[in-house]
Amino acid sequence: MAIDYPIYEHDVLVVGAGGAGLRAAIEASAAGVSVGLVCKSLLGKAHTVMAEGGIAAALANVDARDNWKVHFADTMRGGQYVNNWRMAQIHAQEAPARVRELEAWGAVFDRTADGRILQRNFGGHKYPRLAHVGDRTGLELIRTLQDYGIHRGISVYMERTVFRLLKDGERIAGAVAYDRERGRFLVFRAKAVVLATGGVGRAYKITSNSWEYTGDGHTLAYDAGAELIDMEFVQFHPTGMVWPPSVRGILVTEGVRGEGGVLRNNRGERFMFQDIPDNYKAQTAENEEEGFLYVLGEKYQGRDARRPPELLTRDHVARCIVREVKQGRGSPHGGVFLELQSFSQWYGRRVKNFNAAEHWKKKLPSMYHQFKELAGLDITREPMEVGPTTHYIMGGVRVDSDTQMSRIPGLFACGECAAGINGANRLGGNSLSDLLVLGKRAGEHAARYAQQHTSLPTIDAAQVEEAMRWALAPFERTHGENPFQLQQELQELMQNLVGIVRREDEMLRALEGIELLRRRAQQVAVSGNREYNPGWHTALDLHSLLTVSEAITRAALLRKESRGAQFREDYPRKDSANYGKVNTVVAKGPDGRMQVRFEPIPPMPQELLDIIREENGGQLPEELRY
Amino acid sequence: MKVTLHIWRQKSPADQGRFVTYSLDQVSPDMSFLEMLDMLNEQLIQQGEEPVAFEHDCREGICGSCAMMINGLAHGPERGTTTCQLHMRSFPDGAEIYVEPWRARAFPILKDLVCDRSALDRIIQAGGYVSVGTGGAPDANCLPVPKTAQDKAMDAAQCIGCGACVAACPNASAMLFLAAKVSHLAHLPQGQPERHERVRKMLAQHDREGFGHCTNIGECEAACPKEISVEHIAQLNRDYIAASLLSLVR
Repeated sequence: MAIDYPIYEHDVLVVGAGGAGLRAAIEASAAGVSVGLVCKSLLGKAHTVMAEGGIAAALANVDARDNWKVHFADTMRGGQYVNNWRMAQIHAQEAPARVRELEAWGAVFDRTADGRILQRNFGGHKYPRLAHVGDRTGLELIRTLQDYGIHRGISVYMERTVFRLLKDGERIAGAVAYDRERGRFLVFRAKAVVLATGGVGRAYKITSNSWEYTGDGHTLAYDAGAELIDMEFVQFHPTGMVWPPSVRGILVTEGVRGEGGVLRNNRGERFMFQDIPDNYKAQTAENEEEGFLYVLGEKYQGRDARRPPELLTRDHVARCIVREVKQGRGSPHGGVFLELQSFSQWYGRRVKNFNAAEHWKKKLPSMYHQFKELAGLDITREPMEVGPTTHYIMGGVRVDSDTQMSRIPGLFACGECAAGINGANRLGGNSLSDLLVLGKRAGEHAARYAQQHTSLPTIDAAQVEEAMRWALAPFERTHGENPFQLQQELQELMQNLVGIVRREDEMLRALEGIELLRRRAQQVAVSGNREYNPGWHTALDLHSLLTVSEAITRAALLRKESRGAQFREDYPRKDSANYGKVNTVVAKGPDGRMQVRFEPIPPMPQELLDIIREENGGQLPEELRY
Repeated sequence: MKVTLHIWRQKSPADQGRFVTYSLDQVSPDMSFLEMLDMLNEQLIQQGEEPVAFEHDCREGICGSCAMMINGLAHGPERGTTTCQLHMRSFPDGAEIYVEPWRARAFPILKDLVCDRSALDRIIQAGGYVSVGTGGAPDANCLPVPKTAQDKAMDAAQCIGCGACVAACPNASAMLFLAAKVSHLAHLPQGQPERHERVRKMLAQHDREGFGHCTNIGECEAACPKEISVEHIAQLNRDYIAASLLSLVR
């Protein structure tokens, strides 16, 4: 079979044009090498735009006590100490410079009274640290990178999906892609490839991720022989929209609860008050009154009011909601109620002429519009329905902390599809700073690698043909399974068996189910031609979705403890003695089957240990006692 | 509910194109406009016909991909929304709906409802950026920005580059888009060094792309899903006059 395909040559090929990919491309192009940037949809239409909170960077504009050391310690605590400590250090040290650079390129930020970048508080960050623009920081970040990057002479390939990496011996050689519009193949020949493809949310039924987030980068790297780490750690945001179906999964910001939003089940009970973990009792309000006073920043019985139970950690709130729904106390569309009316009534009794509608429109403008436009619901008067939604994966391609290169020479990864910095849980705001800091490093080192390797790698025509034949196989079958059906079944399976609350027996069932789906996926048939054929694209995505689903499940089974984003009902406690100093590593074995193992985390150097000790009340956590 | 759709079908840039009529039953008023099109496409695929090509991505009104003229209005009848945020409840049962791509000389139609909007990218490329190098981040707080300037810049920076302003304008002018980009950087200190050069370069590119000029009709503001004000066009004009005079003096 001879298939005609054009070959495009670049020193550095960046796959994915979200924040991380754009930042990497800008840096590589600044080093003077030729850069190609491939993206699955249009340039700038990436998931980075959805980030609402801000960019975490210890600029110390609002609280002078902040510095990189505190940010480092916060990130490690958030990640429950299984992070790559070197990456967390680099990230905390370099984030302020990356934000200032963005500002110099024309990014708009909210300002302090004296004109400096304003920073806001966020969960897990000790000081106000998130540089932001209202609730559309991600949009501003990507717009700035896009406008800046567009003039640098980067070759942009839009609406092209990369589905296979090519190798020349051990070394990376390029990639094979198809274009969505015509279904034609194209080949990239490149000295270095940077993966920046984002997350895996589409492996789950309910997700805040858009159709593009199918674990492509994870799978491309895995298939090419790279390792994945920390795949068990998938972050579920407790509040996503559950209705109408078209918007199921879209985020309802934590700010709603921060401003006095209350969670209730279908009996009207405020169930969060019934399940407050012992170690949080001292920091949590004892009744409704105190919780509302916290929102206003006032005192209760002579001391600072404590936070309402709705503001407990994301994983805990998510689990409580799942329990209510499972036990039949959910809302009509499978969530729970989040309402502002209790606060309005309480506040209305304190303040004369309180106008609830105006109050909420001012406090939560984008949420007001989101529900008004997407659900036809007025949140100032009616309760919202919310449920947990798959939000982010901490796990990803294992890369070197300083260069972002995987174990395959010339293959780099950054952003959500790379792993290490977040450990078992990511703090809000750390993803935007991560993609700036580590995206820049990936671009810089990819360019350097390309400059050090003067010869272009050889493209092996047999590899290319094999990949193309594989991609076209679904067209050859006349009778076969419907790809959408398989995708849906996989999403159901992951949602129900490897979701927020995990158990060994369920996950073993999930593995069997994945194996079965994989066999069925090999029999998928698509009809029609190659031009703009979503059925065909889904058939190809299935391979990635199945690969990341299996990796998540195998890693989650291996880690027999609950830590960060992973909650095991059969091992509900953290077990630092056995699992506090290891990462799970997934790689393809010589027989082509997926293998998973533990690997020890290198001991943290003394100077970093000292920082943690100081920030941790003079004590080292068990994970760091050697 | 039931709707009758008249959709612009065009196989390729060279094709003539024409309206094709489709009927859809069982449309839920809670569906978004794009979901309704998804539903139509599923039916077309089942009947072995080619689905309607249209752009979409985030479906939350952030990315600016979705772009269509609905009953002659860019992004449809609701104000301040993109097509993906438009719902079928905005139409009466039995509605006849005409769906067309953006129409402008600078936006050649590729297929059905998809047009090539890269002209907007080239306007940015001509000057809509701050050209300082990478690396060597500036020192902390060397760029104080007053809150008021920040707010004005942000109003302009809200532009998502969808091109509705062009589609709505009888002159097919991209002036609101251009003005938003120019005004955003003109309000910030980091935009000052290249301010005059930027406006001249970007306007020249705007004209080269074949966009028309502004005659103060104001359709663009009404069509803009981010409700960007034509005041920014006034800012653009002031900057352009200043830049032109300065270049004469030099």
